[in-house]
Order: sequence, then structure tokens, then C-alpha cells
Amino acid sequence: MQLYTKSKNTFFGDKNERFGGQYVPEILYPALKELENAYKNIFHTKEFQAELKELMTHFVNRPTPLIYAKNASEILQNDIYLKFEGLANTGAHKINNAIGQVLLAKKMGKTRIIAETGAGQHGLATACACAKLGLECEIFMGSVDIARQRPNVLNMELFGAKVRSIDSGTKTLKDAVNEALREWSKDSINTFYVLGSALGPYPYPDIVRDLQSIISKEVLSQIKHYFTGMPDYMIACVGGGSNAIGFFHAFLQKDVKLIGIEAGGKGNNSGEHAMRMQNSRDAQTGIAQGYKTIFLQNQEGQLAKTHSISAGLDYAGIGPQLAHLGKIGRVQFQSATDDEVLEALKFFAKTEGIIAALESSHALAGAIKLCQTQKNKKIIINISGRGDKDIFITAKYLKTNIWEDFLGEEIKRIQELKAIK
Amino acid sequence: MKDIVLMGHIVGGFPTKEISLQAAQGIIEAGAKYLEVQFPFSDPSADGVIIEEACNIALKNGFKIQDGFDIVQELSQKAEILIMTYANIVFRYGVESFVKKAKESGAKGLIIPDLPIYQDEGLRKFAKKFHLYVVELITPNTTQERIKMLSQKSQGEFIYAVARAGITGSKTIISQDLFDYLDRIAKNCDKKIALGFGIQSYKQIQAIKNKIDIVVAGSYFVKQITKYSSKESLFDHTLKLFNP
Repeated sequence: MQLYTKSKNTFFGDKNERFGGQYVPEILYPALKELENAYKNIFHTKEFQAELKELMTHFVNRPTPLIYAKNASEILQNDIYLKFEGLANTGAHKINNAIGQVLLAKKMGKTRIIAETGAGQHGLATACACAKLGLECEIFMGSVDIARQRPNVLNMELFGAKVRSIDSGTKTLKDAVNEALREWSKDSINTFYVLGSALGPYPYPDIVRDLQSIISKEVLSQIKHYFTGMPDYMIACVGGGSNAIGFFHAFLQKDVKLIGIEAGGKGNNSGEHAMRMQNSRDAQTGIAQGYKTIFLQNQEGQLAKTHSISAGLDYAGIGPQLAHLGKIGRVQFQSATDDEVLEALKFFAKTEGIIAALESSHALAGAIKLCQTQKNKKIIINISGRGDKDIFITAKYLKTNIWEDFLGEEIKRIQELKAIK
Repeated sequence: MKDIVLMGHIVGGFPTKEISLQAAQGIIEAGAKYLEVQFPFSDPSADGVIIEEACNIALKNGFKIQDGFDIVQELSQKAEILIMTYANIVFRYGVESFVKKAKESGAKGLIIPDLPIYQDEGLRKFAKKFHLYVVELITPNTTQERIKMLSQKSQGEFIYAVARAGITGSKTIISQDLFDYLDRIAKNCDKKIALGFGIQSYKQIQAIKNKIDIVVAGSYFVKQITKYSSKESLFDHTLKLFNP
């Protein structure tokens, strides 16, 4: 079956099984046409790419390092390398996409940016890019996600962004996406919608992939310092899948096994997970939020609730290109449960001095599992972000009593400070 | 008010199947010629919070697609029924099966905002086969060329003009911009014009009655159903929209 490295006529895949498209109400049609034109006529110009490169180097802090994980490699009996996107500005790969789209918006003459966010990293990156490039910014975030990612919300506000809490539906990412789409439909003339993952209607999946492909291009060049030839395996976590498609892109036509790790949540039989690519009964091709892909949904086509310990993987759909790559067998999909993820996070923190985001810890958990059956392989894992933001989740699970005491004392200190004022 | 006809709207199964049916009967008996029956979807991205919440409640109360068809069947002798829903409901059911079932239930037309004209999974082809019409939508930022094209391709006797950029449920201001927009449609369209999105009062209808053929009130009715669920009260509120 043909492999699609970019979409053709808005879709990935042939007539028999294709994903992507532009399934949007008429109100968004002109906005998407305008974006398509900008993608063709601005994004691909030498001038735009040169300006983007400058920002990537001197603002985003690229290239991010490829680290040989010596201690973990010895224990797991494989050569393990970590692509550490956590060292990019704002602590995750999301900035690669945000800075590119905000720059495009500015070139299109837009004055206002809106974005949705789940884990908060995309919102943070967009707010950061808007602060740098001087555009007004509003971030849509489900109230459940706000509660579990409060540090990111505070930082978004520090960047000058307004954070709008969404209380409809499941109060998570998919509801924030719906609300952002509504807002965009109100005023697409002045407003640019910075989409956070490689999904949504065309041309977003292509734009986001192009911007995130810098990850794999860097890896391709960086592996030469460590070995000749190709790695055996590359592993990334997959929510919407922007880090994964960016990390895989330059290797799609090379002899490397690519593995995507989805959120196993509380396990396959729990109904509380976000596994869309592993032949789950509830995962079927569908059309929502402007594109066709595999969604977790019930028999009547209602999107299902999802669960993951990481807000960033807690999404009912998957980027259309990854859905295509999964269907043709180019990317193999597995999952890691919440418990396995916490174990992997602890293991790599202790052995390698890296605190990965909970999202990225899914990829680490996938690698640990792989190492149980494989020996002496070259394995590269994408650490899509740092775990600092997750401290309110991880501390709760890993250091329950100490964290409870700390929070109690912190509240006392806040009250004392208030009393003095 | 003889030159203008009313299209009402209910969310099937909101708050329950029985009450939505009663409310629909009230709206029809008070004079609505057309009625949109919305089949709830978990992620109605072209609707505002009022309708979204109504959809969530209907789904929570166990709405099934078959309930929607039952409601259509019950009402189809009393008004011209249009089924409004989203792509995934139709796609998952099977586009041809959905259209066939809609026809058998007595529906006359379909409104599926996220199955647009060139990416519709065969919706318009099947609609033609089963003699239903698909309503095309026009918005204030639709170009003249596109209005012409949509009007020509539109299978029904009217085209649906969205009164303003945005979603359902917010108030539309009757302004010169709106009149200009309606004139632009009239010049480029040989179909009747149904105007919807944000219509909430008699005063608004008075102001635009000479420019349009059908007025669509969606969130207005859903809001009324939220407050008053009896057939009688919906009858009264429908009259109120046309007679202050």
C-alpha cells in the first residue's frame, strides 16, 4: 500500500481507506481557503523559512540534544538514545509548531491568536510565541485540564494570554477544540487559530507535520555522531500525535521500525483509556472536528470519553496521517498504562537524570517493554517534553504524604501573606 | 405575516423523547410550516452552548438514532420535517442507510453542516436517489460566486442563510450589513431564502420580513423547551414570536 508523506487532495491514503479532509461548516470554508493559500504562497517561501529558522535557533533553542542514555542502556541491554525536546523554550516540542503558525499568522496580517490546549504545553507555547511576536492571544482550555495543569495556566497568563475555561461536555481537550472552532467561526478575518496537533481539517495536519519535522531532521543528522546507518527502533507517544509525526517524518522511507505509544490509562478492559489504533471495539473511523480519522466512539457515532494520567494524550481522535501510517502498517501502535508510565518516569529520572513529561513517559514505558524482548538494538525515544509541569500529578502519586504536607504548609504561608497585606 | 413562514427547531430527545415530541407539536400547531429535528451529537461544533447542553442532556437521557426517526415519523404528517445533525452520526449509521431511513420516516430534507458540498461522503447522491433534499448553507463571508454555485447545486426549494458569522444561540443585530447580505444572496440565488441563527423576537422578524421567505428559530425554541416543556406553553411561545 502506498505511503503518504504528505496529503493529496486533502487526504492521506487511497480511496479505500483515507483520512483527513475538510469536513467543516460553510462558515469556516473561507478561513480554510485563506490558510491553504498562505500555506502554499507564504509558508514555503525562502523568506518565511529563513525567518523561521532564525527563531528556531535563537528563540526556541534548537537543535535540542540527542543524548546517549548510557546507564539505562546498560540495565536494559540495548543502546538507548533520548531526543530531548524538553530543552526547547517552554519545555516541549509544542513550541516548534506554535512559533511557526504564529509567524504565519503575522505574515497573513492577523491580529489575534486563539488556541486550544489539553496538557497546557501547546497553550503555553502559543502564548510564548505571541509574546515574542507581539500578537494578542486567547487560550481555550477545559476546566478539568485547568485543574490538573495549573502551573501552565499561570505561565500562560504571565505571557499575557487570556485563558478561557471551558465547562461544556467532558471539560477536556475535545471540548476546548469545539469552543476554539466556534470562536474562529465568529471572526476568522482577524483571528488565526493555532491548532496544536497534526489534526483537524486540511491544511493543518500538513502544516503541523512540516513544523514538527525539524525533530526528525535533527535526529537524522545527530545519529551520525553515535553510529553509522539507521537506528533499529524509534518510539514516540501519541495523543493527537504531533511529536510522533515530527519525530518519524524523516525516517518514514528508511529502514527503521516506528512505534507509537498510546495512553493505556487504567487498562484495555477498564473503558478508561485513549487507545484508538489497537483494534479496540470502540475505535472506529469517523468524522468530527473537521476531519476524518479513527475516533473512540460508541456504536451510534457519539465520541467516547477518554482517560489518561497525562492530559496531553487524553483525546478521542488521532492525527489523520498517523491513522494512515498505522493502517498500512508503517507505524506500529502499542500502549502503556498509567502505572507503567509512572514506573518509566521514575526509572529514567534515577538512571539518566531526566524528568520526562507524563506524555513522553509513555514512550519510555514502551521502550522498557520493547527491551524485554530485544537485545543490542539501537532505540531512539522522543522525549517530547519536560515533566516539570506534571508535578501536581506525579507528586500526588509518588510522594503522597510529603506533598500533602507541603501543600498544607504552602496554603498557610499564603494566608499569612494575605493577613500581613 | 402572510409572506413569511416559520421553521421551528427541536433537539430530539431533549429533555426526553416524549417532551421533545410534545414541544414539536406545540410549535407546529401554532403555525410552523417547517420543523428541524436535530439528532444530538456529542460534539456539535457549529452550535452554541444552549443547543450543545440540550444535546448532552438528550444523550444522557438515552437518546438513540432510532428515537430521532420515531419523532420524525410522528410529526411528518403535520409539517415539513428536516433532519439536522452532524457528519459522524450519518457516517457511522451508513450514509445511504441514513438517507433511506430518513425518507422512510417521512423527512423531506437534511441539514448536515459538516458534510459540505464537495466532501459529503455521497450524501447528495443518495439524497437524490431517495428524493430528499440537502439544504445548503450560506454565511456572511460566502463569496458571490460561491453563493451562485451553492444556489445552483441546492436540491431544495430554499437556501439557508446564516444570519451572522458564528454559531447558534447568540442574538443577531438587524443592521444595514444584514440587509446588504440578504440583497447579495437575492441577487445571486434563484431559491427562496431561509434566514436563521440568532432570531429571537417578533421585532426582528418584522424588520426583515420583506427580504426573506422563511425564518428559522432554533435556540429560541430550545430555550423555551428548557423553561416550559408542555405542548401548550410551546404553542403560546410560538405565537408570541409571530404576534407580540
